[in-house]
Amino acid sequence: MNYSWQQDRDAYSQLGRSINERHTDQLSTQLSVFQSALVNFASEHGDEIKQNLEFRSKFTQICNSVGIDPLDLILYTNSSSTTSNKSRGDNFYIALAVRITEVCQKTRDLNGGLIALKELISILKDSDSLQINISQSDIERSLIHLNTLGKGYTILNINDKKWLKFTSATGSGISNDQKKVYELCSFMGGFVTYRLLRDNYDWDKIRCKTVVEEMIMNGLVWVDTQGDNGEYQFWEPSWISN
Amino acid sequence: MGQQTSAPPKITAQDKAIFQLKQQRDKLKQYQKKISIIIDKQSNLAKVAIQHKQLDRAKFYLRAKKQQESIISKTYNQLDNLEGLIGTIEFKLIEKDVLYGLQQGNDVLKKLNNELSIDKIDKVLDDLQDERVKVDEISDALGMGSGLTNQEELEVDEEFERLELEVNGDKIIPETKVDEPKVELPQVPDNKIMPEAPTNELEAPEEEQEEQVTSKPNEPIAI
Amino acid sequence: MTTTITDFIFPKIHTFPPLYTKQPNSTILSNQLDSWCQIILSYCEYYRITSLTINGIPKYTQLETIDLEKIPPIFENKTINRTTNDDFKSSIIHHLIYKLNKAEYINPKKPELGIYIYWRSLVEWGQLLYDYVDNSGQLGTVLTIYELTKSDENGLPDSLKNLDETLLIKIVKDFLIKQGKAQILMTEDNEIGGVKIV
Repeated sequence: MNYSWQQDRDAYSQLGRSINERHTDQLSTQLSVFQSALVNFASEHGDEIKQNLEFRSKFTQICNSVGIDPLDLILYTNSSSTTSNKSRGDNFYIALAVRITEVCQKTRDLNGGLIALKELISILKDSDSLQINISQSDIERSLIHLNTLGKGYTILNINDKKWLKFTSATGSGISNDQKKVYELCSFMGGFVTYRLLRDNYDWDKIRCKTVVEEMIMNGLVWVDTQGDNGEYQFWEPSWISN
Repeated sequence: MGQQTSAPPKITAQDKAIFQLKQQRDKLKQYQKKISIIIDKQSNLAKVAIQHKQLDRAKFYLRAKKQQESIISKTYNQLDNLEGLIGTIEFKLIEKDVLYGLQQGNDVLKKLNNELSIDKIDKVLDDLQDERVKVDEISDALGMGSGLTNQEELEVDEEFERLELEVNGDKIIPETKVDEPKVELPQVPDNKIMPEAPTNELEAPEEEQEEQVTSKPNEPIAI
Repeated sequence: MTTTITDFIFPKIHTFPPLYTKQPNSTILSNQLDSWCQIILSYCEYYRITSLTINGIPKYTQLETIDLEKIPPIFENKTINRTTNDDFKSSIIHHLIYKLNKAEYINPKKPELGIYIYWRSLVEWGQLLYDYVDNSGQLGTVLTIYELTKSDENGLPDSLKNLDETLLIKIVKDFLIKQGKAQILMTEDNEIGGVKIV
């Protein structure tokens, strides 16, 4: 008797599960329909959203409740409403700047705040649910906006490749020596050793050690103790994503 | 009963018996696996021996293999028995459950039947009759009879019919909506001002209508 | 029998030489440990490995067709000539057990016996087992551990087939019994030999 009671209960819980599943399915379709409707709405009424303060705050509320980042919408509407890249509005670059800082914060633990522009762009394109075309020059223009707030972001040229250096509140900017280490890394296929530094730049032992150790502490290079002849190698982490 | 979810299920004596049989079965299966691996090995060895022209040795392996095979067929019989036994026990257990269920059902039915015994029903009906008689007696005694005289009943029926005619004669069924149509109906014709038009054309439509009426009865025949 | 599945494809970071050196910078280190654990979990899931030695050598897999000695090792990359040393290995395993809760010592009193790797959690395993017993109409029947792992006659799903017996018992003990859904039966040798799931 207990057995049949148990069966009943199982049958009910199964029913409950399937109803739940169906509801979730329906809800998620509705949600995605609503999301795309919102995107359309934003691109049609972009101007009004910009001008009418109350309208805008309501709109942001809706965006938040359905899980759309209004920032994405700003990026999207401002990149598509105008066809030519040149006339993308300030809003676009400001929104992009916010995104750039987000990516830099997120990846800092891995790369110590130095990120190749190519990698940055691919992350930016990846993380957006909406397809937006972003070029290197877009990023450079965004950085102009960012740097009016203080010079935290600089673009470096290391061996013809552009890098974005993001200085955290604690760390200082990248030094010339550190830049040279990165230059040598890209020549050597990802790493340097004390010997390589000495041979190429004629730095003395202490100089090598201070530069490299600081870079290790800032997370700009990873240590490898198993190099040939037991020589320590210092690798730049962007190697992984190349 | 409803709160037994957290208590682990009990292991009954039958469970233990089945468990033991199943363990035997598993052992047999394991044994079969072992033997068949040995058989494979021996036939391989026999092949190799033949390739090396060691005929006696090959025969020895084949003989051994034969023996293992006969063992395996024996184990299959035993396995059959075991599986049969397990099956029978499990089926008996279900039969027992079914029987138990039937018994329970039977008991309930019996109890219900007892409560519905004819004597009891007769008694209840008798009691009811008695009570009714008593009521009548009391009413009579009080001189105001629960019922009216036959003549009075007839009068009631007549009045009821009259009322019914009155009400249904007007063919207004729901009483609450009586007022609304009465107000609207007269207004509608007032608005349509078409008094002049009909004089000339009145005859024609009437003829048409007559034609329609005459033609209608034909249709069903045609069909 | 030979290997019937292709070798696991390690993520690119597995060929990044410094991955095999414990990084001195603590934020970088915690990232590095995460990367290692991710590699271990997807590696074990790919080969259906349910336990490792504390040196990261596969101990048990559900797949009968692969030879555990022939699959590429986790903590070694011959193409770049790098291996992880024992000290770092134990940090990684510690991270896997205590930070991510994706592994557990087979016997906490004897850590040297190795660890279970939970690319599928005990709860998920338990649910899988329960669903099988339920769907095959065997709730309330006594089942031997043997028939729940080895048997190929009763429609055991591939996901459960040939599961490590000790892990199966752990699933039953740590999940199903606690839920009041199972009871175990002991053999004459006082070992757990069967289970009744209701």
